[in-house]
Amino acid sequence: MVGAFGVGKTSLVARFVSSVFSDKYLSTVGVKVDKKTVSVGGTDVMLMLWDVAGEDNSTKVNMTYIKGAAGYLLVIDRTRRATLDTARELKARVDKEVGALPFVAVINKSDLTDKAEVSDADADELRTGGWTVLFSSAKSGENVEAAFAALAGRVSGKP
Amino acid sequence: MQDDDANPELHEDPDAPSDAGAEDAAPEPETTDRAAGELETVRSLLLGPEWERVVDARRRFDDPTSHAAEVAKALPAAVAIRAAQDEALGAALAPTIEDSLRTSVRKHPQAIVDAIFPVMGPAIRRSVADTFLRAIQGLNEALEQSLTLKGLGWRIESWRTGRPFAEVVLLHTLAFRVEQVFLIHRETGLLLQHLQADSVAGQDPDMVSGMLTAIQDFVKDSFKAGGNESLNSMRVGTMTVWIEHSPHAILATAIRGTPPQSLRAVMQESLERVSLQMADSLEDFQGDASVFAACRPELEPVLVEQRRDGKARSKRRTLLAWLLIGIVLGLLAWWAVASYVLRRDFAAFVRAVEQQPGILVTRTDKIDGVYQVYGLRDPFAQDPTALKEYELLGPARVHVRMEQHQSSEPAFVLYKSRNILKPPQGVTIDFDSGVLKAKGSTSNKWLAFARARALLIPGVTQFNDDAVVNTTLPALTDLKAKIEARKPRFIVNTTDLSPGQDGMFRDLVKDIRSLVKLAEEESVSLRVELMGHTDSTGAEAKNMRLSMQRAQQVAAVLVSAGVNNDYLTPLGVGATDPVVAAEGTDKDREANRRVNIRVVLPR
Repeated sequence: MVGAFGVGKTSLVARFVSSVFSDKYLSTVGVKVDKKTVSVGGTDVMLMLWDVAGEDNSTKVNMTYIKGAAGYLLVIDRTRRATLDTARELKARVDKEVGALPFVAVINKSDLTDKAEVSDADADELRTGGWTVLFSSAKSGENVEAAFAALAGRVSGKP
Repeated sequence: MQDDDANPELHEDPDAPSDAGAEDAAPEPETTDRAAGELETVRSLLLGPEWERVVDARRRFDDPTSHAAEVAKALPAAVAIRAAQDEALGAALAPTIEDSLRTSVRKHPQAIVDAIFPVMGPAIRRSVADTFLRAIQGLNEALEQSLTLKGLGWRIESWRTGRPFAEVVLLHTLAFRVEQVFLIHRETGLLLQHLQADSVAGQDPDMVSGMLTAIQDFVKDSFKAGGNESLNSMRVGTMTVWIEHSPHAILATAIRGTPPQSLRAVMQESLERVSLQMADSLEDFQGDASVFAACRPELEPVLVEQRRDGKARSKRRTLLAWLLIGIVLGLLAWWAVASYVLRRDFAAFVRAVEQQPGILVTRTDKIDGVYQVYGLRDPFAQDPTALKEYELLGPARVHVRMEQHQSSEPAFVLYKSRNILKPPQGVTIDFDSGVLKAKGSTSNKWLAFARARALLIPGVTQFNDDAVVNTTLPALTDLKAKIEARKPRFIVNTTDLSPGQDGMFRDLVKDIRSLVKLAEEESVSLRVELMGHTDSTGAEAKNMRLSMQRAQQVAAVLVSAGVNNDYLTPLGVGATDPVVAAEGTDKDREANRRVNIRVVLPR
C-alpha cells in the first residue's frame, strides 16, 4: 500500500481484513503487515499486505519496504489533487529503485464527489499511460475487494 | 587431466589428425603408412618406455569401463574424506536417495515393509513410552510446585496472566525452550516454513514473518547498519528472538528463557543445510512456499528445549508424585470407609430409637455434616442418647431433637407401668383395654403401693390384683389368733393383773409388738381393740368405769412397750358381756374380770 499521507491506505486495508497488529506500528516502524487470501480465477492467492506509512513533505516512503514486494496498490485521494502528483512521483521512484512492479492505482474517497479534485478525465489519462485505475471508497466499501483482486490478478499473472 | 595440461604433444596424436591436415595434403595411403611407421620408430628411439606409458594412459582415459574401475577404487575413500569435511555430500545425495526410496516404496512396498518391520515395533513402543513419561513428568512438576510457596506464587501468576497453571509451571522449570521457528524468504519477507512447540499460542506466522522482516529493515535503515550487518537478536521479558541470515533466507527463533550460545551454532548449521538443499527454490522463489516442506527435517533440530533439573531430581519427583497420588488415594479410601461406617452406625441408631416404646421418630436429616433425628418422646421412655448405639456416634455427629408427649400406645402403657410399679420377683403384670392385671405372689406392701399408684398411670383405668396371693396375711392371721386367745385377768376392784399371769402378759405384749411391726412394714392397716370387763358385783356405773380403766391399763403397758397408741382402741363394757353369765364361784367371777383383745385386719 503506497501513497501520500492521509489518502486512506490504512482504511482500505481495514475494510479488507481485520488486523492482528495495532495501527501504531505505522507511526513507529512505518509499516504494518496484514494477510488476506483472495481467489483469482479459481486459485487462492494469499496477499501479504504491507501498509507503508504515507508520504508527506517531511517523510518519504521507505523504499526498503517495497523491495521485496510482488506488486503494490498506489493510492490517491480524490479530494486532494496533490496526491495524484505524489502517486506519479512514487511510481517513478519504485520503477527506479526497485524496478517495474505490477501495480493498481486506486482513487480513494470516491464517495466525496462534491469535493472531488481528481476527475474521471484524470483517471482516463492515467489509463492511457497503461495504468489500471479504480475508483474506490473505504467508507462505502465500493471497489475495495475489486482493487485487491485486481492487484492479486496482476501479481499472479491472471488478470 | 594433469597429463593433458603437461603434455601438449598429446594433441598431435597420430590417431586424431587435424582437420587442416586432412584437407590440405590428402597423400597416398602407402606413403602415409610408411611415414607413420617411420615416425613411430623415431618416437620409440627418442622417448622409449615413457611413450608407452603415455599411450597406455590415453587408452585408459578413453575407455569408460576402465574409468569406472578407477573411480570405484577411490570412491569409498573419497566419500569418507568429503563427509568428514562438511555435510555437502550428504545434502547433495539426499534428493537422489529420497527419489530412489520413493520409487522403491511405490514399486516394491512389501520389500520395504519387510525391511523396516523389525524396527517399527520398538520405535512405536518407545514413542508411546516417551509420551507417557512426558505426561508423568508434567504431572510431577505440577504436583510438586502446587505444594510450595513458589508454587503458590506461580498460581497467582497464572491467575494474573490468565495462562493455565501447567503452562506457568512449564515456563519456570525450563531453562529455555524454542517455541517457534520461522524460515523466511529474505527478499520478500514471506514465510517459507514455520515450526511451533506443543501448546504454544502465537499470532499468524505469515504476518509475524512479515513484521519481523519489516522490523529488521526498519532497524537497519534507522541505525545505518553496514551492508552485511543485520538485526540478529531481540529480547522482551523472558522472550528472546534470535535471527540468522543467509543470502536468500532468514531463520528466526522465538525462545522462552535464556538460550545457550550453542543454539546459535545449531541455527547456523540448520540454515546452511536448508540453503544448500533448497538453493534453487530460494533463488527463484515466486511465492509458492509449499516446496519448502521438504526442509522441515533440517529445521526440527532447532526446536529444542532444556529443563533446569537433572535426571536424579526427576526420579525423586516421580517418587514424590507416586507418594502424593498414594496419599490422595489413601485419604479418599479412608473417607469412603469412614462415610460408610458413619452411615451404617447412624442407621443402626435410628433403628434402635424406633424400637424404643414411647418414642416416635418423625424424620431424619443431615445439616452441615451432622445427622439430625426428630421425633416425639414420652417422659418415661428411654433416653435415646443413653442407648449404646449413640455412644458410637456421639453428640458431634448426631443431634437428637425430641418433643414431649404422653403415649397411649398399649405396649408403652405396659412398659411405663412396669417402670413405675416395678413389680417384685414372682409378680407379672399385663395390660389390656385399660385394665392393668397383676398375678403371682408378693407381700402386702407392693400390693398396697400398686393399688395406690396404678390408677395414676396415663392409660390405666383399673388395677386388678385378684390373681395375686398376699404373702403377708397368713403371718398376721397367726399372730392375730395367738393374741386374741390370751385374756389377761384382774384382781377384784383393781386394774392389777391377777397373780401368775406375768409370763402370759409378756408374751401378749411381745406378740402385739410383732403384729404392729409387721403391719407397718407391709403397709397393712391395723386396729387393736382392747375391751375391758368386770364381774357382776358392785354398782354398774362403777363397773363401767373400772372396765375402761382395765382396758386403758393394758393400752398403757403396750404404749410403754413401744406400740403406737394410734393402733389401740381401749373400750369398757362393765359386766354387760360376761364369759360366765351365772357367777356361782369366785373362779367364775375372776374369769369375767378380764380384757378381751380383738385384732381388726383388712379383708
